[in-house]
Amino acid sequence: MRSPIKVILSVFVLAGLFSINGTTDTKDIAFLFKTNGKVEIQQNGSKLWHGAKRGFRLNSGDKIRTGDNSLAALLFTDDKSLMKIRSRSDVIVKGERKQASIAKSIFMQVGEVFISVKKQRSVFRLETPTGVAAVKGTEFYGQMDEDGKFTILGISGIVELINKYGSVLVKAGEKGISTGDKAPQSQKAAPGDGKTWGQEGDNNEPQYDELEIPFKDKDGNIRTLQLRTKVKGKK
Amino acid sequence: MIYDGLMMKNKWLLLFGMVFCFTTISFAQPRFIYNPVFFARADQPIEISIRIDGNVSASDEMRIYFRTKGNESYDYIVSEKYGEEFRGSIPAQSASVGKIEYFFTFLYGGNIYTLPESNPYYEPFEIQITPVEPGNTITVRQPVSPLVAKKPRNSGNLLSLSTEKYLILSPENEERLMGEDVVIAVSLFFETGEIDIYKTKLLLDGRQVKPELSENLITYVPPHISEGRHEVDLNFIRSDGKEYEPVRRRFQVMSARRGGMVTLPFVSGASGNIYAESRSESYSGIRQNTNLTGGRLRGKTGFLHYGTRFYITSLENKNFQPRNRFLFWVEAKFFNLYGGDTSPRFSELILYGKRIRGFNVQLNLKLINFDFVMGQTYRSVKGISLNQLIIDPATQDTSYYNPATGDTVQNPISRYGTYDQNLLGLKVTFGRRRGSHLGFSAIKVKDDINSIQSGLKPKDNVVVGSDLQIAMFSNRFRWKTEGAFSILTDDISGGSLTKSNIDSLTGESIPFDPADFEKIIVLNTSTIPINPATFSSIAFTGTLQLRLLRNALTVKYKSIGAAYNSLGNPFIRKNIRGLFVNDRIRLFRNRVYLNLGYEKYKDNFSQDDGKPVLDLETHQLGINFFPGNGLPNLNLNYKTYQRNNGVAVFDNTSLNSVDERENNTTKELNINVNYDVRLFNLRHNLSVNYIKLDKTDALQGSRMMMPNFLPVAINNDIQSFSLQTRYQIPLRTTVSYSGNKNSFLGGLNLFEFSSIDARADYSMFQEKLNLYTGFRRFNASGGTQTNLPGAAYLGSLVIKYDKTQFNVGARLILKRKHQFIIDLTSIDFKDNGGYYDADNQFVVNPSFKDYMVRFRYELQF
Repeated sequence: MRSPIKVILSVFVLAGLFSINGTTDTKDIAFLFKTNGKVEIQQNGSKLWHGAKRGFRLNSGDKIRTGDNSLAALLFTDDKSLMKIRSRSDVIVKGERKQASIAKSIFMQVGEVFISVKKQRSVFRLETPTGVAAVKGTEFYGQMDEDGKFTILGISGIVELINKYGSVLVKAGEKGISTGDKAPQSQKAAPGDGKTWGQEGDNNEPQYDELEIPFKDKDGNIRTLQLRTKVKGKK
Repeated sequence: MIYDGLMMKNKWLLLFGMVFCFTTISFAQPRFIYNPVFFARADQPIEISIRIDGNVSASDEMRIYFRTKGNESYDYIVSEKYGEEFRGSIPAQSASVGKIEYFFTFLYGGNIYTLPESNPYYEPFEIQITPVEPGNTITVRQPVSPLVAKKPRNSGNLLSLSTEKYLILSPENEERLMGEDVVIAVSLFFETGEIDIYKTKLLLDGRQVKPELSENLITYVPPHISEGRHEVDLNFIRSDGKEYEPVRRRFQVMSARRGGMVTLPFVSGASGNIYAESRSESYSGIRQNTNLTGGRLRGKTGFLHYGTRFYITSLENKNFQPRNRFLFWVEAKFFNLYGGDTSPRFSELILYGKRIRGFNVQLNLKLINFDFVMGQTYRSVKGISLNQLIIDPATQDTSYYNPATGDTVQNPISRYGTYDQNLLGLKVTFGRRRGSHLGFSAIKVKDDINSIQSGLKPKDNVVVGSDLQIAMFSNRFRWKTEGAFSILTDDISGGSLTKSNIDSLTGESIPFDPADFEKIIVLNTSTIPINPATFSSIAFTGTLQLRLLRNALTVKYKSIGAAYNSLGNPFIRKNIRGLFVNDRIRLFRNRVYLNLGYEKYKDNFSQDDGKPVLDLETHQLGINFFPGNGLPNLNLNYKTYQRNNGVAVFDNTSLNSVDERENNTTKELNINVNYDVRLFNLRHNLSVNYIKLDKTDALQGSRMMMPNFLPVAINNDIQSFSLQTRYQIPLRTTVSYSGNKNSFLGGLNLFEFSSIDARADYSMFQEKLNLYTGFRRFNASGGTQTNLPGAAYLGSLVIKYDKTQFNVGARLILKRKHQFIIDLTSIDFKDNGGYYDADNQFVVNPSFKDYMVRFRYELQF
């Protein structure tokens, strides 16, 4: 039996260490890189919502919500991972700093996000009530609708979509769906999928001319190649 | 200069004209004070500033016409007037443009003056676009270049800094972004004791700013940042006070019109600005008040992009062409609609950027595209009667009437009016507008003869043409050819001829009745060409552009017939054919750019007027040298321009003889040295320019044998330098000097001026308040002489004056949206110059104390 005093001391020491970690390693995990429209923050531990502009620093546990035609783009401070939070979204940003990296966990109650992780230094997870997307160096869209349907669209790399019934790997050009009542599924994304996801509010996105070229693959299936060229302003 | 033209006139008339001109000019003609811009950096707007000596009124308008060298058509901007100074900004050009040609037109007291005075459309100023220095390459894409960690030359006392210790999150190196998107953010990975975070210095453009600091992150959001290039320097300090080697990052802030929007509260998803400005000024004893407002808005709703621009000024006057401007547009995938003051572009030969007040509709159906335009190119302006002209002193409106009858007086006419002129155009393009395509265009432009009474030669014009473009290999190969045919009826006031008219005139029966075609085009004796079979109204161009093996080569051949006329693009030089070749070569890892140019044209090749063909030949060599390693950049350009019509003999036996001989060569040397240097821990930019121009007449010796000859020789000698310094405190100073010596007519006309400028800008409250003050001292001297025998002073001008100018101002930014500017200028103008009157008495020009007060408010949303 350990002496109660040692146990109590150990608890206090651990609690102290934890509190130190809690105050230093979860601060400044990201900052608002760009805001359009209505972007509000509820800081961890506070019940007040207040407006936020570019440059605002985010600590772990801070909540972000966006209004109609709005956008919040944030950069994580360890590896420049980018997350764009689209209109009418509700997101909690969590992160824990470990040396030079931050383990990131985003909880999205509802809404749409675009995530780009190019030089991943640590874990990056997008959690929703009906599924979790574990990111492995990728770009993807994530959409959580009010009916509990969690959809991701892979742009590049691989995303693992997980719920309590199982998991599935979603690759570039695929769409993964998790509804919370069965194992997640993936399928080929149809042309145009994700095209209109939450474009409102993100007015700085470049405009493109699009060219669609149908062709037959080796199995004889008709497929479509989409080419996009950036359009310069005309007037 | 205008004297080139005078050379061709009768010598006695010329002499009389000289005397008359000099005395008249002394009262009426404005004098341009301009140090030409010869070099400009790629991807940056080209700021042009020109001053006018003279009684400049608020209604005077200075336009800057510009085009890419080798193109047929000019665009123009209307410069903004600041007292006697006009400022304009030619849009940023890419390095591939090579050269920009430009000239000024100045609407002054109802007359138009140009700079260069002679042949401005065809012999304009040139600006060499210097590529961005290697390592400063601007890219719109997300850059993947490594962090820029600039190591000072003397870094022995500085601690080395591993790039693993920090990560610049924003901005990306050489990133282009909007001012409202700028965030400076640096993530830190230092161990305890490796850094004293609170001693860290963040400098923006050499000025220390106050960022938000924590052990993990440095962030700074500039409250206001100007358009253009910027530098961020980060100096980390260790706990023991030792300094790490600094980190530098560059970025560029773009203007709002290039895109980028923030949310407009009352129009969802839109952005823009609205401004209002009021000026009160007194120049040369004339007081003027001007008010203007303007704005722009862009937005998107669903699949539609929309926007509007407007500019409203109190200078709008029905006696001139519109100065107010407005435009709205809606753009979608398959169609674009532009309404208001549009600038449609069909082809360079037919319609290219001319302002048309009306509608432009584009249908984009991928393989076939339609472009339809309808609107007014000129609005009607009444002519002015000479004998009963009344000017309303308040509005400057003019009116005229016959007091005897109460009717409008139509003759004699002091100034002819302008007809309403309407344009209708259609272009059909097969293929992609920007890529390979075949297009067919047609326009009809016609004056409305019923719109005014005191007009001169109302016109009717039809132009048809086609253009073919083949672009391949990511546009590394581009071939473009255009052809057009025009018919112009120079005077439709009498209507169309009928078949019976022509039959009776020619004595033969023609197979059609021209009156049947009157709705398409009015045909009469003023129709050009009279005989289309001569092909004199045909124009065509062929252009090859190649970008390969470090070369950017352009070869263009053009032939524009003497009778070719498009009122949709009236600036096309006619009756000329020849070759244009230009090559820009990148060498030594883009440290050296070599520009080689050659042009050979035959002007007046048709000789319709019986005058000789004029051979024009230009050779050009330009070098941009970017040595790097902290050394100055050097830009050099040398050009020779020769005009020779091959006429060797002048028969002066008759008083009506005209000396048609032309054989002159212009040599022009431009040198620019630009140096970014750190001295005394301050950041400086030193710029030195030298310009030398000599125009020599190969026939001067033989002309001197004749009495009262006028030489054509011109000599210009211009030097200037400026030193801009940024201090550790938010202070920036600029000191500059320029000297300009001009000699025209072989020294008969001299103009010399110098100016010294000093300016200081100081920012407070995180750049929310900017205070500035400036001083300028300007001296001018020179004059004109006449070689009229026995009247050494008659008509001579003496230029001798100085101006001392003080300027103070402030700019206040509130809540990042509201900007207030107030600007006060005072000028002490002492003139000791004057002219000799008919009694050989010297008349001294008056002196003035001038001022200008300007207030501006701008809301950005």
